[in-house]
This record gives sequence, C-alpha cells and structure tokens, in this order.
Amino acid sequence: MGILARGASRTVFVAAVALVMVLILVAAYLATRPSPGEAPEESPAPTTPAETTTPAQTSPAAEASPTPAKEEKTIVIYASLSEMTTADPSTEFSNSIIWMPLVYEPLVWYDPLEDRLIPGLAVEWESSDNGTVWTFRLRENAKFHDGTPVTAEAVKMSIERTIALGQGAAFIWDPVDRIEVLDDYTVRFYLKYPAPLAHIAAASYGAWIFSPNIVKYAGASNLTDPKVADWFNQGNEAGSGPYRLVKWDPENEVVLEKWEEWWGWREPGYEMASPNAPDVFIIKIVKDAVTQERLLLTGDIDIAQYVPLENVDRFEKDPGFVVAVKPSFQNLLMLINTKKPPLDNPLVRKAIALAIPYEDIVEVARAGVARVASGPIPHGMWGHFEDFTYEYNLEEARKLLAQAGYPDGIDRTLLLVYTAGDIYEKRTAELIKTSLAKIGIQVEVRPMSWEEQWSLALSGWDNPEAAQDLFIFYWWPTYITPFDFLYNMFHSENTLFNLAYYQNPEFDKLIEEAVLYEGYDRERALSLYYEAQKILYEDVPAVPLWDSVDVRVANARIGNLEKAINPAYPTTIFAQVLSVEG
Amino acid sequence: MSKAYVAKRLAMLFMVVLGVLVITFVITRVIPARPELLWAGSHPTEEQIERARKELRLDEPIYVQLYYYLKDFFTGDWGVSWRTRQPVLQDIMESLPATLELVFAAFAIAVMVGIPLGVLAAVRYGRLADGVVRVFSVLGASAPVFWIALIAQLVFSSWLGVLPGAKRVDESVVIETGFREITGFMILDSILQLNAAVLLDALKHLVLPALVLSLYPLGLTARMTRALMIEALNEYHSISLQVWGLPRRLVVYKYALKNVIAPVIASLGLSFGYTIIGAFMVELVFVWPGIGLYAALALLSFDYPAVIGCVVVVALVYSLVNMVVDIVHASLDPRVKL
Amino acid sequence: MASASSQVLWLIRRSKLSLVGLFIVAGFVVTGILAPFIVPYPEDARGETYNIEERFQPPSWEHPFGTDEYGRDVFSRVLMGARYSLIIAVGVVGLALLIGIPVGLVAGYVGGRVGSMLMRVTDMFLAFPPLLLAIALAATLGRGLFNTIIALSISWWPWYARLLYVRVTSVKNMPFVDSARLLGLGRLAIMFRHVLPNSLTPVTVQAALDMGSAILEAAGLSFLGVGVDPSTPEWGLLVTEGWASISSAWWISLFPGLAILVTVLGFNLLADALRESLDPRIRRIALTRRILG
Repeated sequence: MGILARGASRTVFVAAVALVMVLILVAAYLATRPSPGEAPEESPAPTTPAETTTPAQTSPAAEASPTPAKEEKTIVIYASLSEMTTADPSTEFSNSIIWMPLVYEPLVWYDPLEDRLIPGLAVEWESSDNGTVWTFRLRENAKFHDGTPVTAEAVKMSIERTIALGQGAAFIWDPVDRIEVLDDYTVRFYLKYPAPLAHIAAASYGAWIFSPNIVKYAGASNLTDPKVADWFNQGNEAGSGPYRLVKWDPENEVVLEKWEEWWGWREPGYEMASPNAPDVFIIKIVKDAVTQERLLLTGDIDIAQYVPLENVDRFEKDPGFVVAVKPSFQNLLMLINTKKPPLDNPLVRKAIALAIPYEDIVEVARAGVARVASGPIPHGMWGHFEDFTYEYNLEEARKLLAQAGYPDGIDRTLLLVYTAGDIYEKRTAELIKTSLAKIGIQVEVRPMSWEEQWSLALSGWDNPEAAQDLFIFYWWPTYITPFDFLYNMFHSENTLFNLAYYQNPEFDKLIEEAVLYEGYDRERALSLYYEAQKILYEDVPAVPLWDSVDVRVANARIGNLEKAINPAYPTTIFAQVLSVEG
Repeated sequence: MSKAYVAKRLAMLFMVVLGVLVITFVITRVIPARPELLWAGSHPTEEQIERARKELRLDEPIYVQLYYYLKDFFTGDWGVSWRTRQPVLQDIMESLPATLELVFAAFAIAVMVGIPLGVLAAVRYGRLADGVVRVFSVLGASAPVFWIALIAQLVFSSWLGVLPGAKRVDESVVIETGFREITGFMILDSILQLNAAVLLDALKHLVLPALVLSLYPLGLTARMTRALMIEALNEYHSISLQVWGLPRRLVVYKYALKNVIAPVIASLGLSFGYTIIGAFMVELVFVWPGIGLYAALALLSFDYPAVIGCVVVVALVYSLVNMVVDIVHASLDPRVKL
Repeated sequence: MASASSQVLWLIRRSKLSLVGLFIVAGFVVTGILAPFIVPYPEDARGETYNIEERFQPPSWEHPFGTDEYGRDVFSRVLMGARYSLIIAVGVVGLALLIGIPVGLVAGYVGGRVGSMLMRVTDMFLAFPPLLLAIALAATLGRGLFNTIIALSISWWPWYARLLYVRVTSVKNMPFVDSARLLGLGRLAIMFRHVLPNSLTPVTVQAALDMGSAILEAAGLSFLGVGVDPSTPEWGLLVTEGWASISSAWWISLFPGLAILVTVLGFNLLADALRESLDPRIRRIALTRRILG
C-alpha cells in the first residue's frame, strides 16, 4: 500500500467528483432550456403557445412559406419601461395593461378627455331604476381567437370569474349583485346600489371578456382553478381583440400579431380600427429613458414610452419623429405619516405643504412636462377642481411651524422614501429635501424598491413610529372616478394604500355618499367630492405634487399616434388605430 | 505526472467551490439580522416571512442550515427570482451564452491587438512607441469601465451613429429572417443557419461592448507581452542568434514570441475576473441580455435570490476558467512544475 | 532592504511617468483634504441648494465642468468627490490591512496547522473575482459610505494576508531572527519587534498603491446601485446620476469619470514604475539593451 496507490485512488476520487459536478452543471443547463420540440402543444388552443427561448418559432415569417414575406409585414416596436407582470385578464392589476387592451376587449371603452363612452363588445346599453339595473346589447359578429362567438354567456362567465377570484381590480364589480343572460346577445346586471356600470365596464383592469373554453384548454376543473391562471401565465390568451399574443417573454418582449378575423377591421367607420394598422406589434422592455431614446434615434424601436424629458423639444423639431403629448391621470403625491409626531399636528403638515416649491419641481423633475397639482384628482378628469393648489410661501410656513410650537424647526430628521430607479421621484425628493431645510426641517432621502417601500409603509398601521415620515408615490385610477383616488388613498378602511394612515369619519361619509350618486346625479356627486377634497386641503394628509403629462415619441412613419393614446388606459398604445407606412 | 497535476487542480477546484458556497452562506444567512426578510420578496405578509423562515430552516442549528444550503445548490434548487418569477438557475442558464459570447469577443480583441502592441513596445523599448503602449495599457486598467461604456455609446452610437449602442440584435431582422436560437450564442447560431443578415447584425451589435470590455485585458496582455518579450529578446540565445546574422524579424516572431504565449494565456486568466465583473456594467449600459445585465437589474431591483445566484455562478465560472488556464499553462510551459 | 522612500526617489529620478503619477496622487490627496474650503460653490458641493435658471449649463468660465440637472456646479461637486474617494480609499485599504496583517503574520510566523488553515480561508476569499464578493456583501448590508468601505475591505484583505504571509515565512528564517531567538526573546516579542517591521514594507507600499483600485471599485458599486447613499458626490455616483441626461448634457457624467480616470492613473503609474524597478530582470535587461542599442 504505497504512496502511489493512495495517490491514484485520490486522483480517481477527485476526477469523479469533478466529473459529477460538470455533469450537474450540464444537466441543469439542458434541463432549464426548453428545447423547441417540446413546446406545450395544447391541442385546441386558440393561440400558439408562446415560448421563452425560441422567438422565431412563432414569428410570422417562420410560419410563412420560404418565399420572403418581408414586404407584406409591417412591424412596429414599442419600448416599455417596465417588465410585464401577469397575463391573467381577471387578476392582472399592473404593467400588462400595456398589451391587454390589444388582445382583449371590454364591453365598453371610455374616452375620459371627451367624457364619452365608445362601443366595444357591446353596441348599446341602458340603465334603469336609478342606475341599479344595467342592460348591455352585444354585437353579433364578434368572435374569440379560438373561433367561439362572443355571447352573453361568455360575458357573464368572464366577469363572474373575475369576481370569484377577488384579486387585482375585482373590487370594481362590488356593486354587482347578479348577472343575467337574457338571450345570446343581451346581458343584464342587477346592482346592490346605484353605480355607473358602463364606466366600470370600461375599466382598465378586471373588465376583460375571454373565451369560456379556458377551463378546457387549461385542463382545469373550474374557472377559479389555479390551473387556469397558470395557463394564462404560460403565455396563452383567449381574447377577442385585434391582436393575438404570439410570444410571451415578460422580462424581454411581448409579440402581438394582427388577427385578421377581428370584427373591427371590417366594421366601416369604427373609430378604434385603422386600415393600416401594423401586422406585428412588439412590446420590447427597455428599462430606462436614455436607452429608449437612443434606440429610437437608431431606428431600433418605433415608439418610446419615455425619452428624457429634457430632449422632447429636440424631437419636436425633428421631422423624422412625431411627439404626442396627452394629459395622463397619473399623479405624484407625498403622503404624510399623520400618526407620527410631530406630523400628527395639522399645522406642521400645512407648513410642509407651503414649503414645497411646486413650480420648481415640475421644472426640474419633469422638465416642465407636468402640471402643478390641485388636489388629489388630476387635471382633465371629472372631479378635479382648480382651487386646491398650495402656495409656495416659506414665510407663512415658518409662521405655521412656530404656531405649532416649533419656532426653530423640527428636532429630528424626517425620513422620505421613494421608489429607487425613478428619476422623476428622485429629483422631486431632492428638491423637497433642499426646500424643507430652509424652514428647519431636515430630511433624509432614501430610495427603496417598491416592495420594500410598500412593506415599510404597511407596517405603519401597527407601528407608525417605525414607519417612514414622508412617502412619495404615484396613483392612477382603475376606472375613471374621483372615488378611486379618494377612497384608495384616504378612506380609513383602506389599509393597503391609505399610507398617510389618515382617519376622518366625516371625509369617509362624504365620499361613500358621493359614489352612490355617480351613476345618475353627477352634479350632486361632484359637490360632495368637492367638500371631501376641501377637508383634505385643510387637513393635509398628503401633498399632491404634480399631475403627469404623457409624452410618447415615435418615428415619423407612425401615423395616428395621438389617437392611439388614451389616458384611461395608461401606457397602452392602441396599435389597431395606428396608421403605418412601409 | 501531468495527470496528477490535473487531478490536484481538480481537487483544488472542488475545495474552492465549497469555499465559495460557505462564504456566500455566511454572507446571506449569518451576517443579516433577519435573513428571511431578504428572501421573502415582494411586500411580504407575515405568512410569506414565516414561509421564508421555514424554507431557509432558520429555526434549525446553523450546520443543518449549511447542509441544506449545499444540498439545494447541488440539486439545482437556487430559489426563485422575485423579478422574473422564474427559477434563478434557469434565468442564469438562459443569459449565460450572451455573456460568454461578449467575453470571448473581448478576449479575442485583447489577444489580437494586445500581443502585437506588446511586441512593438518591446522591440522599441524606451522609445516613443513603447511609452505610448505603456500609457495606453495603464489607462486600460485605470478607467472605470462603465464610464468608458457610457462615453463610447454616446460618441459612436448617439453622436456619430456608426454603431448600434444597445441590444444584441435587431428584433425585426430576427423576425424577418426566421432566425431561431439553438445554442444561445448568436454568432454561432447564425452561422449554423447560414443566416448572413443576423450574423452581420449581431456582429455590428457586438463591436462596441466587446471593444469597451476588452480594454482591461488588452492592456494587461500588452504589458505582459512587453515585459516577457524584453526578457526573451535579451536572453543569451536570441542575442547570439542576432549576432549570427539571422533576420531580426525572424528572431522576434519565431523564437521570442514562442516563449511568450504561455504566460500571456496565464495573464488572460488573471484578467478574466475583472472582465466578467466589467461585463456586469457594460451589459447594463448596452442592454446586453446576459448574466451581467441580469445581475445588475437584480441589484437595482433588490432581487436578492437572483443576486446571490449570480455571485455563485460567476465565482464558479471564474474558478473553472482559472483551473483550465492553469492546466493549459502547465502543458504549454515545461518550466511550470507539474 | 531599501526603504520605501528611497525606492520612490529612485523611481522618480528614473521615469517621468512616475513623476506624473506622483503629482496626480499628491494633488488628489491635497484636494481631498482641502475640498470643503476650496470649492467655488460650497452649497452646490454639499447638495444643499438648487438653481432653476442654471440647469444644464455647458462648461464655461463660471462653471468649468458645467452644471447638472439641479443647476449645481459640477466642478464643485467633483472637487468634493475627491474627499469621498479619499475617505473610501483610505478606509478600504486601512481596514483591509487591519484584517490582513494579523492573519498573514500569524499564518506565516506560527505556521503549521493554524497557519495552513488560515491561508486556506484566505484562498477561499481569493476564489472570488474582484468586486464580486463586495457586490454580494453590499447587497446584503445595504447602501451607505460605511457599508461600501466594509464590503470592499472584506473582499480586499486576503491579498495583504497572502503577501505578508510570503514575506514573513522568508523573514522568519533570516539570521537576525535566529539571533534574537538565541538571545532568549519571547515569540511575541520576536514577532512584533523583528519579523513584522521587516516584512511590512512591501505590503504597505502595495496597499498605498491599491488605493486607486479601491476608488475604481467603489465607483463600480455606486454604478450598480449598491454603493454610497444617493446624492453623495462620490465620483462613481456622479457619473451614474448624470447618465439620465447624458445625451443632452454629457458634461455631468464626463468630468467625474475623468476624475476617476486621472486619479487611478496616477496611482497606477506609480505602481507600474515601482513594479518595473523591483523586477531585477527588467532592470538588468534595460541595461543590456542600452549597451546593445
């Protein structure tokens, strides 16, 4: 038993271990790369299942015959700033809004700028009994991508699934008591209390109609079976819209292909369709404005969701590009921790509100591309009033602070949190910090991931002392109503987004009453919303900072850009109304 | 004898891998006060935190935790990324080819440009060319790679518009030509499919990031070649060969350069570490969809499992490359003790 | 054994490049120390103000490096950045020495099992590519100046431990150590009074020259979002924050990056010349070549 033998056996051992490791790595590598052959081939699936790694598999050209199809296909690439979230039309409540309105249709669309409803799957609708009964008449030539017709039964089933799952934006259907199918193309909703159901049916989330065959495709037992959600999130869809989802790679790109059988292409004069709509619409995730700008300049993308705002005027002057500027119903607010001294004192909060340089913030953070907020309801939306702007007045702010018992400023440093990576929030935070220092309030600015930020803020309900002091955050409505803003951010029962921890029974009562009038007495609702906002203006649980204005820049070959943007469906570009040359 | 060396090197690799895992274990589980919070992900509820505690076995003694940590690693269970909602290992494997392609290209440039530069400097020792090469190589090691990337992108892509400044390939070219992925290496795949359009487009996209990334290894290679060439040129035999009247060029390229190759390969191995970390930043700037971009985005979005997965994989690749380099070096250079 | 200062003097006489390096490093240190007193716009440098009218001004006499998105003077912020870079550089290298020296000393002097175990641990750390370990640590610890220094120094000390270890193992067998032992001095006394002082020079020289790399890596951490706190005028962060407006206001990112480049270049030029001077082969060869022409 010499050294040689020991050495040899050790060699063998080591070699074996190394080999095993290499094999593990190789195996893991192979196992995690789906090969093109084993794509899940659901037999009657309406759309080709999207794959993660083989883009060409489902691309239009690959399906076509070997003869080049180049000239026939128009491709438009739209750069999205954020990654996609989920693909389940019932529960999705986030970034996927960028493509869902192209693949799915609601009963009704809403144009908030003209305050006008546009027919979707429903051609007409009416309400009776003070807005507690709503009847929708469906168009008879609409089909889902799998060929089944869009019927009243499908509408009932879609909305019932959304309600049953109770996630995401399901709350919009809270007023609904039951849904009744009158005939194949007529559906009636009975409500528990009056509500503007046509507007609700035009919501940007939770209002999509999909094929009843999904249970079968997913091999599930019923509609709420998690298998259905899994089936959606594998990149499948069951919509009736002008585009089909052909590739679902949520962190990189989503490819949509024109669906020739959509009823809208053949409907003469339908305002949400264009004869020159692109054949392929790609949503490409490009996570910062600088890169989007560059890709736009080099022609790698056709439409940018954001370019650095400082450069917008350069694009406006350039004939190679078109710029669309539209109001958006997204606003930025700073929520104040109303439960943590000294911010529990309304005088201190008011002093803060008066020490914020609103005009400068819009100039610095948004290069002027936004409007100073007036109340929590953004410009251009119904329920917005012009007289809730705070004046920037350091003198007055100092006076209020002294009145509150802090003549020399506050003796502790306030913590302001914002979402890391958002340059507009960052610049806003920086200016607030600089400005509050002038009245003796020191602020520490901390960027956090949205998850971190939110979980810190949620903990404030139990322990307001340990939570942040100031919280910068965006809000945008699920469907266009002042109630969406006022309830979510300020109603005492909403512990998810009322992160000012504001509790005021008088305010709660006003908005609860107002929402009931929305459906049939807009005037009454408005005056109640005005009262409610006046309370907020005096109490200052939050400082509304600015209402954004959306700027989209596109290559000049993209026509109808302006028309393809609708603030009720933020980030969406309605590709079906684009008119593309070449 | 050589086999024994390889075996020894493999044993070392195994130890190194264990070491890497132990250190990452300490960083992720021992240092943080409440490790479960880092792993519980998006706005965790109490239940999610509790689940994370259970998954990490934080209630068990530390050595049991370590055991399961190692077990999970070897069985490929690396956790799920909060950002992509996919298994981390799968994400990493999908993005690895893009990074390797970029790093290979950078090294190819480094060798093809660095060695001639080094030879030039050595032959002109002490003259202007030498000084220029020396300064250049020191510059390559002194510049922050992300800044070079930003400036290069600004100048060549935004201002001059001569090269694409982002992504790996133009989407529409891929779609129009029906290109499909086979290995994940764009250049290789396009050659395999005889797809000239994609090949050309991919090469065009590769140039700028690869050049930026190559600066460091290029400088190092040039410097190494220079030092070794000076030495080699002065060794007795080459001096005497020159005295015998052999053409100078032949002496330089045939005799001296031969002695230089092995150490240069070793130096490339050394710079691999810097290069792959540089790739994190270069990929972020050029939106190059590799592991660097994945790691950088994970860092920016606080996606902890993904960050740690990337750290482990990069450390592994680094160790593996070092081992291969050592073995190649040993087989090329008889002077290295086996 | 040549002392560090005489080596440096020898270098400077020999090479103009190293002289340039020396000037840069000296300038950097002086700026770092004096920054708060010499910046033209101290409020801008500390980020306590903003100026709407002055936003995005290109370089001019008034603002040699232009102004940023808040209308702050970039020149002032870059000068102030020297201070942060100096703090980081000294902090990282100092902390790394503080860990590396004891480990290397004990491993080298005590040797045996303890020594080889310590070196095993050291080697494990060296198995990570540079910066990677710091990234993992910074992601765990969170942002901040102090955390950045800790993260970097933890990934840094093994180099010094190894360097000192090699030195100590050779020094401890030198005759003067033996004679100290014969005189009956204790182990600790020998270790600290004889072995350590005689091994320290190369490590400290190396450490001083490594400050450039520390600055570079701290900048890298900032770029990846795990470095110093936002709106700290650290050079890497200044470059990163200027990225958003680079296509219209390139100067915001250009100058801080240039500052990093020049400073690190200074350290590297010194290091390079030193390396060459310490490599006896090249020195001999240089002589030969001069003779051969």
